[in-house]
Amino acid sequence: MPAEMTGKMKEEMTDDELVAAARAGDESAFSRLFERHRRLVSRLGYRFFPRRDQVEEIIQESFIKAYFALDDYQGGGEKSFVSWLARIAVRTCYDELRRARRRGESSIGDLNEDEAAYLHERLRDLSANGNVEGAAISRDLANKLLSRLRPDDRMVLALLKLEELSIAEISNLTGWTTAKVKMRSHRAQRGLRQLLRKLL
Amino acid sequence: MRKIAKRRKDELEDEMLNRFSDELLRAFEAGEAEISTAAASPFLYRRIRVRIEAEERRLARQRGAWLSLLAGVKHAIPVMAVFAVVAVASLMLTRSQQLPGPGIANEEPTLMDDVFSFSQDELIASAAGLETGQPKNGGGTK
Repeated sequence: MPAEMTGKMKEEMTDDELVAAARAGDESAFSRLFERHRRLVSRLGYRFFPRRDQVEEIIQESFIKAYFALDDYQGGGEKSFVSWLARIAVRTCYDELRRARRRGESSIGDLNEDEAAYLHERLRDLSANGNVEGAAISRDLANKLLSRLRPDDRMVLALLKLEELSIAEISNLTGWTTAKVKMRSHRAQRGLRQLLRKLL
Repeated sequence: MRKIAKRRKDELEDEMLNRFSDELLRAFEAGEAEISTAAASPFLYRRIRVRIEAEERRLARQRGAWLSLLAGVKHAIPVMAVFAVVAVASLMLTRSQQLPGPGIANEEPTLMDDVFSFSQDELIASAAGLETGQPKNGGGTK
């Protein structure tokens, strides 16, 4: 009965209370935080990485970083922990994007002839009749094209277009100034257009 | 007129490419089921715990290494201080032994020993040219 009660209490505890318990050494409190927010981190991971193993790695890395940074968490607001964890996850994704780029993973050079021909055809269709909906681009192909962008540009573009965040929210999440976010968004869109123009 | 037409064409092309870019981003987007599957991956939390524990052990080892280093330094300081005192003391003792004392300087053999071994009478006689067996003109040539 007491264990059941403790479990029930954990369910009702706020994030800040769970953080305080985890700081005090309560392992189950951190486990509860993980249960509560792992989906958020998974969703953020899928904004930048196409494979499940990559996303699982982002989830692990983000929660490990969060665990060791619990003492730095200040809390106070209702959504404080979510914002704090999202910042850690976004930072982890950004670091991983940079590492992947350094390793030279998935560059435009990886596009095989069929993919290049397919894209060319789709862009021609689009140019002729303006029908985007039938583009039917595979995720792998999209990843190959998007990974040509600089990690910071890609980060801003994904948060802006997929997460539908405002410039101020992206600025808060990444720690970059709003001017920097605007500039990167503009540069990312221009970069993508140039990339596609080459395939036209 | 041609410039305006070209600009208009570029704008249309940009717009079309922007739409295609948005399509690319959408194509990259994962479905809700996929997001949930990755989040609910078996043993995910267990793997996190294992890595946290490994990191904690590594940090503890690092702290331990620093502490043992500090403990070593703590023991080494008095020993090194004793060594320093002994070294300074022996250096000072050696120096004081090497300093010329009142009766010691004359005992040391030098190149000038022969000069100073003359008696006072011999020196006066030599200065006056009265030394026995020595010519008065000092043996010089005329």
